[in-house]
Amino acid sequence: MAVSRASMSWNKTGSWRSSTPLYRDKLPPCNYNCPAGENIRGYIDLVKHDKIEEAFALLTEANPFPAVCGRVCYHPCEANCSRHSFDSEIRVRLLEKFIGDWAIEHAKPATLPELSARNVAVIGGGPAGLAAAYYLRRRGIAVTIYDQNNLPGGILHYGIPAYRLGKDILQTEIQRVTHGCEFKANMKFGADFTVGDLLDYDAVFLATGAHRSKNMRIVGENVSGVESGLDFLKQVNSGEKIVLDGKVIVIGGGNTACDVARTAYRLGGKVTLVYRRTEQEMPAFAEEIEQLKSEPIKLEFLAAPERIERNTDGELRCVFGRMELGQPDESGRRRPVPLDDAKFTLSADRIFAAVGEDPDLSFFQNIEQSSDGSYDFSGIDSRLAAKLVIGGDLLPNPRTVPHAVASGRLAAQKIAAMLNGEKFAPPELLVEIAGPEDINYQYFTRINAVKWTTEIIENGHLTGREAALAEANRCFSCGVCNRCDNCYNFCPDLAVIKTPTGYQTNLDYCKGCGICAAECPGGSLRMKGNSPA
Amino acid sequence: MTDYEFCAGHDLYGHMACPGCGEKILLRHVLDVLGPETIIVCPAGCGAVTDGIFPHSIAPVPFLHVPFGATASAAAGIRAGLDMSGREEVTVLAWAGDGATFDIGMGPLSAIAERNENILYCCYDNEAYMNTGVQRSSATPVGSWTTTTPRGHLKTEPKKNIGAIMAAHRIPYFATCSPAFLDDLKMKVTRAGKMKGMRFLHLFSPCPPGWKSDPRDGITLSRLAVECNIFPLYEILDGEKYRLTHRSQGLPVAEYLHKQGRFRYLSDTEKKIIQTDADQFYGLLVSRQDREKNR
Repeated sequence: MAVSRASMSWNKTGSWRSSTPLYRDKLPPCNYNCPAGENIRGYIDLVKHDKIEEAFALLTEANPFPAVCGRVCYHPCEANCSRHSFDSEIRVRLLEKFIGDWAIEHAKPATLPELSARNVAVIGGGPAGLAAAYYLRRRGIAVTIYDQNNLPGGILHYGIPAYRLGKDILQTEIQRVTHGCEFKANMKFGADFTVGDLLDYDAVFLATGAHRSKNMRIVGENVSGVESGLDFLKQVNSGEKIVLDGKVIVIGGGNTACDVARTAYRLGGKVTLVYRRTEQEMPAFAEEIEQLKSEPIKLEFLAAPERIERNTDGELRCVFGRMELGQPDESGRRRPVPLDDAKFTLSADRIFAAVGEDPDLSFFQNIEQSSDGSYDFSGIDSRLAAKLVIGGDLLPNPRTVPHAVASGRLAAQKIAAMLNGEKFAPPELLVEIAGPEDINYQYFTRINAVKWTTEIIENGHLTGREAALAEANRCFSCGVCNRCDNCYNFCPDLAVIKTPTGYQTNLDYCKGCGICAAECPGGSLRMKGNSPA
Repeated sequence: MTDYEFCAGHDLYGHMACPGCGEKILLRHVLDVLGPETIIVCPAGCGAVTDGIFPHSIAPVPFLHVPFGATASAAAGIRAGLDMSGREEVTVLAWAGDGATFDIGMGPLSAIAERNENILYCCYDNEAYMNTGVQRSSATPVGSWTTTTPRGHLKTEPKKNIGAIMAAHRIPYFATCSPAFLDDLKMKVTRAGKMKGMRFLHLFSPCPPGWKSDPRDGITLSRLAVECNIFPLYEILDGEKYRLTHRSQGLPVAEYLHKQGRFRYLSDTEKKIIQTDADQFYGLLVSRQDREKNR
C-alpha cells in the first residue's frame, strides 16, 4: 500500500494570497473625540477588571479633574461611541464621575517629586491653570497660582451653578490637584501684581479665561436692571443671597444663557429665555438644552432685542424684533434675518444678557486678535514674552472644560521642555480610528437600553461598584486586540501563531481568505491589499 | 481526547483547500478533541484531494483514502481489525462529504448504523459536489444554484433530512455542529468521542467557491445559518431524545441568503417558502424537545 510519510509544509500556500492580514491597534472613537485626550478605552478596561485605583491613575495622566468632568463635560465620547447605534452608548461620563468620586473618598495623597530650583507662575486658577499647575508640580517644578478670586476654580466655581457641580466636590478635587502648589487668592493681574513681579519666574502660564460679557449693542443696555449673565452667576456662586421673585428675561442661547436661566428659575424668577435663532442653532450643549426644556422656563426663539427702556412707572421693557432663518453663516448655522415690522415687547424686572464672553486682556497693551481668534502677544514686554505660554480660553479653541484642561497639560509639557532647553513637539495621535464599520457586532449581545438605564443609574449616578463594572463590561474595546483567539481558531490554514504579546500571521501559508479580519470583534485586524472576493 | 490543541503541534498547513475552506477548520477542531488515537477514513471528495499530494499529507494521524461509496464499509472493516488486535481505544473517524454520505455512500452508511458499529461518522456538508465543480447533491438546499441546477432550473427538492434518517436507525448519538460555534462543536465531539457505537456528526461546512460567497464570510454564514434556523444546532440521543443546544435568534433567512451568489436567482416567493420551511423545522425540533421533557 502506498503511504504518505511527509508533511505538506513544502507547499507555501502564501503565494496564493492577494491580501494580507495586518494586526494594528487603532484609536477608539471615544479617545479620538476626547478634547482632554483621555485614554478612555484604557481606563474602562481597568474598571472592567475592578482596578479602580489603576483606572484613576491612567485617567489623571490626561485629566486631573475626573469628578468635575464627570459632571460637566459635554461627553463627545458618548456621542461617538460605536455602541450608540447598536443599543446604547457606554456612559463614559458616569464612569468618569464614578472614578472621580472614588478618588475623592479613597485616593491617597500622591507622593510628589522633590522640588527643583525652577519655578513657574500660573496666572488664572481655572481648569487650564490648575491642570498646568498639577502637571508642572509632578515634574518637580515649583508653582505659584495667582487668581483674582477668593477661591480657586475660576469658571468651575464662579460660573457653573452648584446644581450642576457641587462646590464641596469641586473644592475637594481642586485641593488634590493643587497639592504642593502655592495659591495666591485675590490677586488680579494688572492691579495687585504686574509684569515686573513675574520676571523672577522661569516661565509664566497665562490662562485668565474669558470673563468679559459681550455687549448686545442695543439702546438701553446700560439701564439699571440689565446685567451681565456671567456676573449674576458669579454673585450667586460666591454665596450672595439673591431673591428673584419677578419676571426675568435671559438673552442668549449658549451654555451661560442656559445656566443663568436655570439659576434664575431656582431663585424664584419667572424666566423667559430669548434666542435669535432656533433651538437647533443654539450653541449650548445638547444636554443643557434638554435640561433647560425640562424646567418651567419659557423659550422664545427667533427674536432679537432691539432696545430696552424703563417706563415712567418703573417697569423694564424690552422690544424684540422677529427674525427668520436665512443662509448659513461661517459657523454653518443659519443666520437670523429680521422680519420687517414684526415686533413685540416683553416686560421684566431683571434682564440678563448672555450673548457671549471675551477675554479681558486689559493688563497688556498692544494685543491684537487675528481672524482665527488667536491673540498675538508679541507686542508685550519682551522679557515676559520670552517665557510666556498661554492657554485656556485665550486659545482659539472651543471654550469647554476638557479643552481648557488639555491646554493646561500641553502647556506644562511645553514649559518643562522649555526649561530643559528642549524643543517641544506635541505627541502625534494615532489617526487610524476603529469606527462602527470595524466592529463585528455579532459577537455582542444587545441590551434593553431603557431597562438597563434604570438598573444602573440613579439620580445621575451609577448605583455602585457593580453597576460601574457592568457598564464597563459593555465596552467593545474598539480597535484593540483582546486576545479572543478568533483569528487563531477560525484560520483554515493554521497560519495564525500565538505570541506572548498577541498574534502573528504565518505568511508562508496564509491564503488571505480574510476570515480572521471578518471575525475580529474589535477591529484591530484588517486585510491589506485587494480583497480576493 | 487528551490533547486539547493536538493539531497546533503538527504541520496542518500547506494543504490544497481553497481560501476560506470550512472543512479544514472543522477537521482541525474535531482532531483537537479526538487526539492522536484516531484513524481517519476518507472517501473521494474535498477532504481527500486537499489533504496533500502523494507522498505528502497534512494529517497528523493515519488517513486512509477509500472509494467514494465505501466510507462506511471501510470504516467498519478497520474497526473490526482494531478490535481484533485489542486496539479498542482507537477512534475510527469516517470523514466524508455530503455527496459520499447523502448520496453515494448511503447504503453502507445505513448498514453500519443498523449494526450500531463503533464508529464516529462525520459528514462535512458543503451542500453539493464541490470538488468536481459544484454539482447538486441530495444535501443541496432548495432554490440553490449549482452547475446541474442552473438558472431557470434551480433545485426544487428540499434537502434530505439526514438527522431523521440517522434517528430512524436509533443510533446512540446524532448532532449538528457549526464552525461558528466552536464551544458547542467541541462539546459534541467530546460527547460523541466518549460514547460507543454509531455516532453521527453533521458538520456545516462553508464553501466560498461553490456558494459564490466571499471567502471572508465563511464563519459569518455559518453563524447566520444557525441564527436563521437554516441549520439549527441540536442533538438526538438514541434516535428519540431531541435537544436543541443553541437557542436561535430566529433572524430572517434573507440575511443568510443574500450573502451567497448561489441564491441570487431566488424570487421573493421562493425566499418566503425557505423562510416558512426554516421556521417549521425549528418549530418541529422545539416540539420534539418539549415532548421529551414532558414525558
